[in-house]
Amino acid sequence: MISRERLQGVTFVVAAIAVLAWLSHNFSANLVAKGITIDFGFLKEATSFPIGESLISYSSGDTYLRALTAGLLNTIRLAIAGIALATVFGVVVGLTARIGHPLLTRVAKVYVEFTRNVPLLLILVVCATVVRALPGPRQAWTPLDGVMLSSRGLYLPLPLIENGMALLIAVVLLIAAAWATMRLSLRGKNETGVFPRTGKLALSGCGVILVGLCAWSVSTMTLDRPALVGFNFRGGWSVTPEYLAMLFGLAFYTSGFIAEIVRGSLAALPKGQSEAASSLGLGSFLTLWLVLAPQALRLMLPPLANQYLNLIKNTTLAVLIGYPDLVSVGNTALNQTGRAIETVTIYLLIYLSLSLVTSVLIRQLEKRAQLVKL
Amino acid sequence: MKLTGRIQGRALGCLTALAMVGALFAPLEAQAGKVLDTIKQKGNLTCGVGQAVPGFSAPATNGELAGIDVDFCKAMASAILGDSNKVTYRQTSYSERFVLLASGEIDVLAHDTTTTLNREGAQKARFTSPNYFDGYTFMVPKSLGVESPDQLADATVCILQGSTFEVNTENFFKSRGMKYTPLVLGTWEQLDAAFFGGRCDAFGGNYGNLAGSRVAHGNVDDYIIFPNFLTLEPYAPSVYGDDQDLFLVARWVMFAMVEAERLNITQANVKDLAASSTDPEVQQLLGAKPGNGKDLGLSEDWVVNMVSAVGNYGESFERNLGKGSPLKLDRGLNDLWTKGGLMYAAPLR
Repeated sequence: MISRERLQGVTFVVAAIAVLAWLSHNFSANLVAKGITIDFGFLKEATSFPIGESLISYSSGDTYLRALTAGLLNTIRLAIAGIALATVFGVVVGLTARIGHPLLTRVAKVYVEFTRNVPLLLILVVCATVVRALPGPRQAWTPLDGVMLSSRGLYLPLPLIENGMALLIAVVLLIAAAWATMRLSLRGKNETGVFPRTGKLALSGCGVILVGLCAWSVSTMTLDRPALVGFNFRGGWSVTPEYLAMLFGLAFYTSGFIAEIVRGSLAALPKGQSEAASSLGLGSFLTLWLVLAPQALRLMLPPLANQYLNLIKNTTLAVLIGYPDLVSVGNTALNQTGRAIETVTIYLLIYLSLSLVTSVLIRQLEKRAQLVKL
Repeated sequence: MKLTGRIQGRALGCLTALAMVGALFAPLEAQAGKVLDTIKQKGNLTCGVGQAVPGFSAPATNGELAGIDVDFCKAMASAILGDSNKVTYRQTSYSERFVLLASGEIDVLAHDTTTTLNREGAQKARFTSPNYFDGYTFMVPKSLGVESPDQLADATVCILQGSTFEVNTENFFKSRGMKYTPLVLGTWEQLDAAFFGGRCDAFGGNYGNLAGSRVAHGNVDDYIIFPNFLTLEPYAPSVYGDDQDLFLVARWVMFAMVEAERLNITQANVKDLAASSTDPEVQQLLGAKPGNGKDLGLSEDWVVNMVSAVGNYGESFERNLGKGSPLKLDRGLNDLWTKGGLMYAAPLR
């Protein structure tokens, strides 16, 4: 005799399979009827369009795969910087709300309510309008020699270091060596109670070499200053107005939610925690840093993960203001090739993977922040 | 108001491609070669037009859509259904138009669309003869001091996404060995805001569209549009490749509008001429001598209905793009072949 629950389960699975089978049958029948084939071969074909800004070298004539990769990297670059900036803004505002000063509390509250209650799209359109309203390249605002802000973006001087790559490798190796020495020495200190002499020597050696390398590279360094050539600036390091608008728009919007998460998680801790810390003589900063923050972090991480995922998905609004993210580049590719189903499938898979990777990373952090039984 | 409309439009736009894929999951309708029958059955034609493209498809002062592309939709509806009001307009972005056409969401695409080999060959759009000959060029502010497109090296160029313009711009700069920075946006409204706001040095697009933007912006004298076309862009309405009957109607509706102009048949005199003309060409075109309607599967008075609704090609042009419109474009290439233009009709017999 089959139990009732079991029967319900089986019925549900059979129904689900039937619906899926029906949908996929329709899907393939419609494709055949419309004469549409699914073919990702276009990814290997050559493009005939440019991309405004790219982290990898790309020009028309490269493959669609490379164009989409350039778009994806723009998305990732925007998402990482956006998450970092939103977190900084959010934590600052969230902590400001806790200080207890009536004016600061109110300012934080207004900030949170404003960012949470204005649609993101509107914020982005306003940001784009503001950066585009900056003076033209010939009237660029130049607060310092080589720093230029105009409607073409922010241009900064780029330090050019000879043998930059070798220097970078040397610095990385030095830091790795110092870190390893530190670990070993600390282990030694745990065993003997004394920080080993050799460790001290090695560490100061690393420090001296590092300072020397830096001084040498600064002395031989030349600055690549951006200069106006014809219509636009050449040289230097630059970010476009669209990137700036997207970055600040996303960070501003998301930071309101993060501020509330920070404030709420701290408020959720029992009052006894901070009272106990005060009675031990800890100041307000140490109370926060040593007692409250580690406990609040545990509460913060899951809702924070949601905000990060939202931010990643919201980068797709870049289409609206012309920042060449994955979707913007993909839409152009879709149009040039007519491969709608393929392109949309690529979007789905990429955003799914980006979100899953972020979730996994946050979950790792959660594990580390878990309460440990001693 | 405008902003909310744009946001909604964009939000809908973002979803459309997905929705189209979703539509493929719907049950199959038997329709190979039956689109025309379906239109007749439901008494309505769905026409894909531009979102806000002055002269082609944009809301007029009375709030109704107007433009040369909208006129083509009306001509189709009056030829097939005898009533130019039986049209459902679907305003679509440039990126979505062919997806909508392929999925059957729209019956006819009249959307300032250039005929290209890829669009016919790979995307299965079937284009009629052109309803507007345009050419690709650049608009720049006069203050820039540029006299020819060849001086645009290193410029930032505003370009419409999902159009032939991205490729045109690339080809132009690449062939001259010049560098440039593209700023790609999805709608004319966004492009106008960026270009007139000073974000770009040049605005790449077709002459007709650029002239429309310049008029809408107001300060016509502050901007130059280079008059030499870099490419020819023949705009033509299209239908999807799986219904030959609908394609035939679309093709000959376009020809009939041009032929009516050559024969001096206008909105005002078409009814009289249908009843009284003794000119054999006029008699055949207006159905006094039957045959054309039967061959296309339409009623014999299809041209009379059409011309009564929107006029002949010349009337439609002048009303939307020419002297009767804010754009004030010359007929130029779009004049009749008898007057030095490219507009001609194959014989309607």
